[in-house]
Amino acid sequence: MLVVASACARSIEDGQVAPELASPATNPAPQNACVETACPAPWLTCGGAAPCAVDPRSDVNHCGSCEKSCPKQTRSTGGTYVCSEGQCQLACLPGYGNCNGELKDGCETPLDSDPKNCGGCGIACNDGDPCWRGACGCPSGFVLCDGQCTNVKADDENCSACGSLCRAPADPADPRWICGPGITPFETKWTCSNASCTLQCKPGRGDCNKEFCADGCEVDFLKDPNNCGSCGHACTAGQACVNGACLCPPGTTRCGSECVDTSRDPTNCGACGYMCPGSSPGRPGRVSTGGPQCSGGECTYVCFPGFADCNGDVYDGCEVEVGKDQLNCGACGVKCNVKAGQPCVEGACLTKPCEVEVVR
Amino acid sequence: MSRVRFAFALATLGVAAGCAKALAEDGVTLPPSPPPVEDAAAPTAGFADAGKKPLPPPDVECAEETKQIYVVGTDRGLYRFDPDKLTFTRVGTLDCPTAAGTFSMAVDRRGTAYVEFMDGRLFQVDTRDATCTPTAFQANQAGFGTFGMGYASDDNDAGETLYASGAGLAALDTKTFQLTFKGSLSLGRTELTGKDKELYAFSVGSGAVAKLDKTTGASLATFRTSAIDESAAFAFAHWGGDFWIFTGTTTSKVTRYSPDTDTSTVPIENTGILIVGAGSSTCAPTAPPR
Repeated sequence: MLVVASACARSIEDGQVAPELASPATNPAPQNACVETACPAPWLTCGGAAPCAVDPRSDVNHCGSCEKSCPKQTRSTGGTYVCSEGQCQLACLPGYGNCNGELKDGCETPLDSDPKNCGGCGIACNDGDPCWRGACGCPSGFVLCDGQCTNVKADDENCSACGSLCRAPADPADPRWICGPGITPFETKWTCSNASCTLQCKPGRGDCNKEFCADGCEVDFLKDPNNCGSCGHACTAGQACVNGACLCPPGTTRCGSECVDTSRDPTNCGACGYMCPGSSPGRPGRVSTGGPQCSGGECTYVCFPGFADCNGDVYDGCEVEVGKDQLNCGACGVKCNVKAGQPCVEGACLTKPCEVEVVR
Repeated sequence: MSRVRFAFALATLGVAAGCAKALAEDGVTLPPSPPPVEDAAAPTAGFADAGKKPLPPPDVECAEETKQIYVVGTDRGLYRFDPDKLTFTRVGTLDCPTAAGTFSMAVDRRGTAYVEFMDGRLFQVDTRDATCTPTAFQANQAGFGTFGMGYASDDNDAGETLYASGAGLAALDTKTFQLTFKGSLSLGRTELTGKDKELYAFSVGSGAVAKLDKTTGASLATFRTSAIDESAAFAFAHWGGDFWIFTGTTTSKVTRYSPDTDTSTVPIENTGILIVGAGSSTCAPTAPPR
């Protein structure tokens, strides 16, 4: 008596016709394997998606099961839902927390300013201490001015005390006119420093010859190759002083204001301005599937793991997700038995051992 | 105008976070310049070429090189920072296959760095020579577009875990490259670092450092640093019991925060690099060296 108890219509063991699986010549499945259509855990086939292409552990539209989608972001939640380990979880926006544990009002607590929940639910500040940007009290040297922690040692609008403006003294006899009443040397300005308002060099300028009242701040730290960034800091031959830094370090080439390694930089590959193909960003929100690489000053294009360029067109990148594509399963051109509903899971056409006809 | 030079080769790969003046924390007009790159004798900080020293075996945990801080700059350069000597050594240039800019970095106990770029892609980088390998990490998982990263040792001494701070706190499995959401984070955009089994986050907008509950993301304690700059690029790492914070807009300064004394100092005012990622492995010392 022949007993066949198998989803496989026939077995190759009987020497007749190969099982369902054996249709695509490119399918590398073993000879004694049959088509498997049941998805292995955790994969699911949901709606119109490709078979076994949904991962319910992380898919917000099928979180835990095909039927369960996570709630969308709303103003009331103050956060977004993510799917992690098959569970929808509320992710609050930075600075907010779900301190009451209720999902209906979402992330209701402003953690950056609430003294009872400062930087975290239940973290209370001492009486009188402000909650500023998620931490109790002001940083050392800062003072609370109009509700904002302010560095009164260096704030021209709040110099040494809240509301104290750092401006040129109105009184000509003020001793801070160090070069004489009303005299403001070259490239100097009234600046709050160490909580006092004094005449100092403007940003990026320096008094290197120590003739402050004579020629003021005569040096441009941003450009002077003999005083690049600071007095006496000279750039070496071949280097330029750009924004206060001597460019470029050994092994790098100056491209505009940057120092780059033209042997490895895909945006300056081989020389400044040589941009490797595929460097342009894709559509917003689209996950890149490959990228340009510069090796030894020559461009290549690399597909990221799980993707392949099956059409040979670099400009659409590595367009095939070989982990799921039934027609390019694991590699370009490897076809699963689509007609039989054979899924491609993690780069392999799904199979199972064929059950053999048993003669009793 | 950009020109294109292209020797095309297509490859499909298998699967596979400068210098020495203390900063008065007030009106500084321009940071002192970094020492010149070739100036190996710079007194307190400087660049040096990593050279071609013999590489240690790749699978050894806590080799000497893994006990320092690594940083990555907007110039795609990978640098090793010695907090004891306040020196930067350029290891090399990341050759990762992306034209996007660098974003963040973390380093494991074997000296493998994970570097994220601004397109959300994650790459493995060998800290010995800066060579780069794409990972199977799928960008934009769980709403995490770009994120900070840091390693912390596991509570059960079983190993270490890579954590990510983006749309909350998540653990990132470096075998499956799946993110597992842990919970919301209270601070704004943050970077992470571990101190042995403890996980800390730093927010540049507030200058706050928060000790995190690794299982929920909740803040357990908060510290104040002087490193506050809402518009700055920033990076964060632990070494020797202190936190080392790199902030800047054109070039980074280094702020050292000591939680034991609640003090911030700026040992390096101008690194000459705009640092966007820093990582110290869990092999880094947790107390100041004697």
